[in-house]
Amino acid sequence: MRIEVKNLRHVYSPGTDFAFEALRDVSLTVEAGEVFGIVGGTGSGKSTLVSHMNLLLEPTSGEVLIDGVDARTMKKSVLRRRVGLVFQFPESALFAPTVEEDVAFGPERLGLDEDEVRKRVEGTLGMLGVGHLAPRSPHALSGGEKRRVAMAGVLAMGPEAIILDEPTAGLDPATREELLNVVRGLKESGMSIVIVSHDLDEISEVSDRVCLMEGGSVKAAGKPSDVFYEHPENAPGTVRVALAVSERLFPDTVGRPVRFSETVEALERVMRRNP
Amino acid sequence: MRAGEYIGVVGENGGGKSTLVRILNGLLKPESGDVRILGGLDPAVEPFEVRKHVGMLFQNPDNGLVSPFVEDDVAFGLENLGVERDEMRERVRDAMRSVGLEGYERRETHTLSGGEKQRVALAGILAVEPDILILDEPTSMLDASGRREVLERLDVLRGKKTILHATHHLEELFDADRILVLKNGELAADIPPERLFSDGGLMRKNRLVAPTLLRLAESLGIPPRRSADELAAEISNRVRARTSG
Ligand SMILES: Nc1ncnc2c1ncn2[C@@H]1O[C@H](COP(=O)(O)OP(=O)(O)OP(=O)(O)O)[C@@H](O)[C@H]1O
Ligand SMILES: [Mg+2]
Repeated sequence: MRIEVKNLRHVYSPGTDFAFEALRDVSLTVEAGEVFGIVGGTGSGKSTLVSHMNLLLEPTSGEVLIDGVDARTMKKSVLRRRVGLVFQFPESALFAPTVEEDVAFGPERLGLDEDEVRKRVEGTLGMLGVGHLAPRSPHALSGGEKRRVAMAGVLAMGPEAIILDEPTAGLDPATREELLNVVRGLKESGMSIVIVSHDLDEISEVSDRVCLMEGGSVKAAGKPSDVFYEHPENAPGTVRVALAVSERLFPDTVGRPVRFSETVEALERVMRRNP
Repeated sequence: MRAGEYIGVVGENGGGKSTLVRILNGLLKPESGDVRILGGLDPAVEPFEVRKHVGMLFQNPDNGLVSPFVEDDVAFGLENLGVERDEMRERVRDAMRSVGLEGYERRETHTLSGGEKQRVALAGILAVEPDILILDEPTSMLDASGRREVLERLDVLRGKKTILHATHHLEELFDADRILVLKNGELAADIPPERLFSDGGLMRKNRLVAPTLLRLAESLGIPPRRSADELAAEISNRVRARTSG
C-alpha cells in the first residue's frame, strides 16, 4: 500500500483561544512495502501526522491518499482495517477482560469464523512473544507487555499497512530487538510500515527512508544516510562517530554508514587501511 | 540506598522495576518484608508522609497528571505541602523553565504530546525538590535533546538528593553509583555500571544490551568510550599512529 500525504495542515481547536497549528504544509509519500521512519522533537507533530493516515484526525486542509484514493472518501471501518494504527499509549486501547479476548475483538467484528479468529489471535500473540499472556487481564501487565498486546490486536485485523507510534518506548533492549525483527518480518510479507521513534539507533536499523519533523513541518526526508549526515544533531551514535572520525582525518574517509554493522565495517576499513 | 546515592534500576520487562517503585512510595503494600524511608517512615503505613519526601515520576506520564491545566499540575505537589503563594509561583516558573515548558502554563494537560506530558510530570517533581527522587523511565518519550536536558538536571541534583532511576537505556546510567538488576522479581545483581557493561554473560542473562557506543568500541577492539567524540578521537589517533609509524 502506498500512502501519500499532500500539503497537509492541521489546526487543533480552530477558532478558539487554544487554536494551535500542529502541522503546516506537510507532504510525503510512504512507498508500498517500505519501512518509513519518522523522527523529530517532542511536540513536532509526529503523532498528529500519523493519526491522519487512518483518519483518526481529519486534515484542516490538504489530503491523504491511500493507493491514490482520497482517504476521506473511504469508509472509516474499511480504512481502519487496511491501515492499522498502534497508539503511543496503547494502554488506553485495551479493555477486554483477557488478553485473548482483547485481540479477538477486532477480527470477530470483521465477521470471521471462530477458527480463523483463533488462528489470528494465536498467530499474532505468538509472533510478538506474548502467547503465554493470553488468559491474563490486560490491565495487570507490565508496560512493555501491554504494548505488544495492543500491537497484536491491530495485526490480527490483517492490515496492509501498519503505523507504530513509539512502539519500543518502555521495552527492554532484548524485547526491543525482537520487535524490530517483527517489523522486518512484516516488511518481508509486503506490508508498508510507518514507525515513529525517539530511538535513532533503532530507526536507522530498520528504516528504508526517514523523515525528520520540526515544528509541524518536514525538515528533511530521504535515505537515512542523507538525512542523518546532513542533520548530525539528530543522528544516531554510529553516524556521529563516523562523522567525527572523518572530520579528524580527511573528509569522507569513512563514507556514510548508518546501520551498526555498516559502521563497524567502514571504521575497520579505515583502521586497517595501508598508508 | 544511602542518602545522596544515585542508583540505576534495569531489567527485563515484567522484572519488577515498576512494582518496586510503587512499593517505595506506598502505592502498593509488600506481602512481607519491610521498607523504611529516611530512617523511620513506612510507606505502607504513612504513604502521605512518605510522599512529602519522595517525588515519583511514573512510567506512563498520563498516570501522573492530575490537573486540567499545566501550571496547576506542576504546582500540585507544592500546594499539598502548603507552600506560600509567592514562593509557589516562583518555584513553578523555575521548574517549568528547567524542562523547556515556558508558554505552556495555561495549556490543557490532556492535549499535550507524549513528551510534553512527560516534561510536565518531571517539572512537578523538580518544583517540590524532594529528598528522594524515584524516576520510572523518565525519558522514554523524550527526544535526544530532551533526554540530555533531563540527565544534566539529574547531574546537578547528584549528591544532594537520593535518586533511583529505572530505565531501559543503559547509556543513561554511565554515572550511576551502582545499578540494580531485577529479574523475575529478584535482585540479580547490584553492581557498578562499568562492571555491568563489561560483563557480557551477566548482560545477556538479564536481556540487557550495552549502549551503542560501547558495542561499537568493542567491535573495533577499543576500550570503552562514552561519547562519540572520544571514540572518534581514539580511532583517529590509532589511524594516525599507524600511518605515521
Ligand atoms: N488537542 C490538542 N489541542 C491543542 N494542541 C494539541 C492537541 N493535541 C496536540 N497538540 C499540540 O500539537 C503539537 C504536536 O503534537 P503531537 O502529539 O503530534 O507531537 P509529537 O511529535 O508526536 O510529540 P511526542 O514526541 O512528544 O510524542 C504539540 O505541541 C501538542 O501540544
Ligand atoms: Mg507523539
